[in-house]
Amino acid sequence: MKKRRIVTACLVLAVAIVTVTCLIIAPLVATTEAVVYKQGSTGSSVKEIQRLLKNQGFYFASVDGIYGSKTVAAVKAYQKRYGLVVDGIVGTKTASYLGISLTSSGGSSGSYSSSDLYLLARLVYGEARGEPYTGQVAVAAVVLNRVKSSKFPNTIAGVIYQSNAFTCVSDGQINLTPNTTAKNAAQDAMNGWDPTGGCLYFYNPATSTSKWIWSRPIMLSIGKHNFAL
Amino acid sequence: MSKKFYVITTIILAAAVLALAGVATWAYTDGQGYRSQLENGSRKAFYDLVADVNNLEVKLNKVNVSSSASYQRQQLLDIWRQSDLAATNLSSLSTGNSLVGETTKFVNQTSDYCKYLSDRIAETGEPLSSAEKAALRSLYETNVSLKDSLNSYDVNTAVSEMSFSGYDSEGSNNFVSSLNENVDSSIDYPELIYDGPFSDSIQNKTPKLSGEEVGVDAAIEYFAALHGIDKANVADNGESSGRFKVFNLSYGDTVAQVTAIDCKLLSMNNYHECDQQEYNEEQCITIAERFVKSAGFDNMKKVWISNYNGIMYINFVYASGETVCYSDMVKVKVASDTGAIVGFEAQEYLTNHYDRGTVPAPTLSENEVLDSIIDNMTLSAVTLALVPDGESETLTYELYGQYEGTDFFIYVDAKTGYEIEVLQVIDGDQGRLLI
Repeated sequence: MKKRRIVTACLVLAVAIVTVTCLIIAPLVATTEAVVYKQGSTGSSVKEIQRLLKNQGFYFASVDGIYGSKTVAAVKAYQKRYGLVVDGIVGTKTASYLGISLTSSGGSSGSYSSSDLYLLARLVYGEARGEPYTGQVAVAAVVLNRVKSSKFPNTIAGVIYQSNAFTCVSDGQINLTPNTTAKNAAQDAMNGWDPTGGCLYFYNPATSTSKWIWSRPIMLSIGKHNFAL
Repeated sequence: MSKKFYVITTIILAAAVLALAGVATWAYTDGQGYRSQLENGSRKAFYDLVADVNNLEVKLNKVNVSSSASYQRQQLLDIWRQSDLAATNLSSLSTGNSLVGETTKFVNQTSDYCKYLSDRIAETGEPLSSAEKAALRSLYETNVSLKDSLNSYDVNTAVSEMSFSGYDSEGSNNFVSSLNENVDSSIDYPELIYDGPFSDSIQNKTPKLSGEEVGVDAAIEYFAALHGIDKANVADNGESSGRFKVFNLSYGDTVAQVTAIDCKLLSMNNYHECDQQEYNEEQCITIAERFVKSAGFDNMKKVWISNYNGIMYINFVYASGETVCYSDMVKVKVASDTGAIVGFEAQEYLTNHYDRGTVPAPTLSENEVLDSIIDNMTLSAVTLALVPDGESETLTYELYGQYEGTDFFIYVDAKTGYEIEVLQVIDGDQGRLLI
């Protein structure tokens, strides 16, 4: 009996070691591009999903790029038919059955400025999605103020992808699909709205670890962020 | 029996340990691969930067000894391109904090200033003046110190001694920090005043807004009157001091900033997602016009309207007689479902507006300007417009017309007849845009 207990203990220990290892390694190995399409998503990728579902006889409404209840129903029917988890959400697995790869660049196709707008919206969503609307416009405005400043790169992508400039770029949250609020905030900033009055920096005083940022003169705070020149 | 248990136990444990070791080794090698890829990216940027700065030095020197306008222009355009490359390489090295910010500024200004000079030569045909050469000379000298600093990182030892991708606890890169210490702080950068977007005078522009400074009570009164509400309902959220000293006020979901000087609405926002369109463009314009006037902005003329998801973005500029002044712009957002004002912004107006007196008459007549436009263009409107040109303003004829189905705005200098800007109208998902 005692030996049996030892074996059991060893087994548990072994399983524990493997589990813990996997738990530690998994997030390091997994890519951060957790892009999924679900109710409320919009854009060209949604259009693509709707088109494929329609071709295969699961979707009957218009291909409008808006992931509404009809799209959810179609996705559920598709998932049921192919023995997938029926949740109405297009994740990696459903997408691979449909024959598309979910990349993060689900931006609307078209002109130079429209992809820039989408990138800016993704930054706003990744960096400030819990903030009040004005705070989201302010974050987008900081990016555009940097583009205008001589001390920073001169394109929107240059500013956003400058190393260590934004935490949501380092941790991959920028690859999430932005919501309408974030897109509208980016659009407002592009149209010249700047609640910060020309600020070049913002930080969350509760989580910021850089001592240097505290030395900038604070101009205003919106939501959780302080904005500085 | 007991022996078998021990054997099984040992095997299971050994397997677990081996698996752990395997995963750890794999993760380590994998990580090393990524790290060296990252380091190689930074190294490439560094080598390219050194090459760019070396080339800049040679070209800046050549401009200084040359006396012919065409050769100078060609070299200046080369410098413009080369310093743009240097700025790109710097940005792939630098971090978000202001590290190497001064160096980036220098490189960007060099680029901007040389572009400005080359445009100037193209326009006047005159070679560089001695003042311009002196400014270029000081850029050259700064560039020499930058080059020396960069070259002092003997590339072979720098690579081995300094880990390019080593980050300290605050997230800054060791290499960039030392670059910052040695390059940024030791060089005296010249201050350049010229008409370009990166000129110091433009970057540090002070608002022209003048008038009496008011207290928060007057601001609340103004804001309440504007919305026709009781001032007890307006919340005071304190002051802030960006380019303007402002009072932050709110009323329900509407947040607004009112300037202390002259008590004017600087910005206002009330987030709204549009439903069904109930008001057409004309009605929205009327609503916006009324609001702009009651906010205390007089003689404003509508110059632009764009519909984005049911929100009408309407731009107004100040009109002095027949001439519109583009620097003095306010922007209004009207929700086309409720007809409510959901956004207002007057940053540009309050920064740039001043009493210009009477705008001088154009040197060229309208007919002289119209003669010069291309044949297949159909004109719909001609207006006199003052457009911002660095720190000053230029009087232009604004020609609005169609060419092969696309709308264009062309701005022609009313004195020289040169085209100073051509804008194309794009109809897209985001409403009407100008590019």
